Amino acid sequence: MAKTIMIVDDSASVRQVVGIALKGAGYNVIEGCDGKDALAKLTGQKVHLIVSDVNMPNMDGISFVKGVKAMPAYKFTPVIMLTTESQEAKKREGQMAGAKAWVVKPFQPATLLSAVEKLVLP
Amino acid sequence: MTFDNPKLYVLASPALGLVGGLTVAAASGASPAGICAAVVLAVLGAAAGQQARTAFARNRREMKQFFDGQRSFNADVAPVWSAQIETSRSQMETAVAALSVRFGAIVEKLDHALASADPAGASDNENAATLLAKSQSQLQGLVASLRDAMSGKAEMLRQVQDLQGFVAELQDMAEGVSRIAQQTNLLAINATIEAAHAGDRGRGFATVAQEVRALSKMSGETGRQIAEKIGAINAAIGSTRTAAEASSRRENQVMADSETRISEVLHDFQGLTSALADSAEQLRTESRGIQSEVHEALVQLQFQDRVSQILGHVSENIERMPVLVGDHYSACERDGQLLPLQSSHLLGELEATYAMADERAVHQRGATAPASAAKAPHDEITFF
Repeated sequence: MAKTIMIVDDSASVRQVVGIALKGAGYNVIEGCDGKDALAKLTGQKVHLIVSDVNMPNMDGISFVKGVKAMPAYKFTPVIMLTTESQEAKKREGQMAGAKAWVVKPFQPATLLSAVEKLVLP
Repeated sequence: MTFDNPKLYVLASPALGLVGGLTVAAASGASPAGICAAVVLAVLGAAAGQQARTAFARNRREMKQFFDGQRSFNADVAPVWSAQIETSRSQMETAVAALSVRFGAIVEKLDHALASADPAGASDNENAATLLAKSQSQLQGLVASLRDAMSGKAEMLRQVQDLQGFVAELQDMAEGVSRIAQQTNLLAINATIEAAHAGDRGRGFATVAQEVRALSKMSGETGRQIAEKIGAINAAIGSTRTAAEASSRRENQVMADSETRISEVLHDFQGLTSALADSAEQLRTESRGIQSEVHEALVQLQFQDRVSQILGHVSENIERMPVLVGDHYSACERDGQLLPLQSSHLLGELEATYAMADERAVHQRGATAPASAAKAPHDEITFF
């Protein structure tokens, strides 16, 4: 059975690009347009990995990761931050919040897939 | 331009006039001329003070009008700039999102097309080659069966030819029967003559000779009839053989023609399947190429996210400009001084919103740097 990955980004085009890359590799995809929307969609279903932007309206990516880690059902779900941010301070914030990897946009689908395959839950 | 405390000018002029008048009056020993000069100086000082106060008031009015005009200008222009940027950003986001959805659909359709073109992992080329080999094998089997059938007919013809040999022997035997009948007849005639010579004693012998003669006639007749029948059979076998040989020649020709045509059809079929396989492979290669290009186009469309963020930051900063400039004008009015407007505060706020390294790089280089100088970082990954 195909594994499920959640994409959280306020840019529809980025969600589309990430979705095409992941679906092409055989993953199911669910989407959230910001941190708040994504948290509302995490209702207990199995999610094997989350790919999240950092700068988003309503709830940013760092707060979203903290929210995910506070949910018992998703405490161990790995999160990859996919963002235009490349400052070390921001990366440390992501790491402290519980993210497992930091990918800077623009990205090549192969790069993202390599990170996904390395971190996705069995 | 600064005011340097204009109230000082308003009060200083009449005071200076009064001090000058008193000094002149004192120096002249309070003479009438000195007192007159002092009064004139005091009046002139008061008039100069009044003029300075009027100029100061006019200046304040003009300053207020200028600041009000500037505030109005900023309040009118900045929101329009910001709204235009926001509208452009929104339109670009909508258009690029729609474009990426279309590209996504193209990628999906190409996936389906490639998958259906190669259902079991075997290429069209292999399928066509298998079909061709099967057809060739079946047609060659058919030709072999026809050859077997023709070989059977040749054997039958040979047996018919052998029959003609037997017929010739039968003909000889029939002639032998005729010769025996003739000789028997001669013997019977001789016996009859001899019986006649023997007189009464030979009468019985003559009867036998007569019977023998009759038998020999019958034998001769039978032999002749056999010979006639054999002749008829021989003629029938001969015509059958001729017809069979003609048929065999025609069949051989038909067989040769069939083999040639089958060979030609198989050759054409092979050429067609080969061309089809080449076309299918070319189509697959082209489809993969298009798919790759579309993937790359999708990657490039990520520029929208970056541009959208940059425009968002600039738009927010433009919206802040009237507030900051208004605060500055208020400070000028409060202090009665025209102080230079510093950009550092507004630029500092803008810099604080940056998310991308290239935004910071452009900011550091300033407005003189060419836009293309700011290169986006690409494909950077960090594991924690």
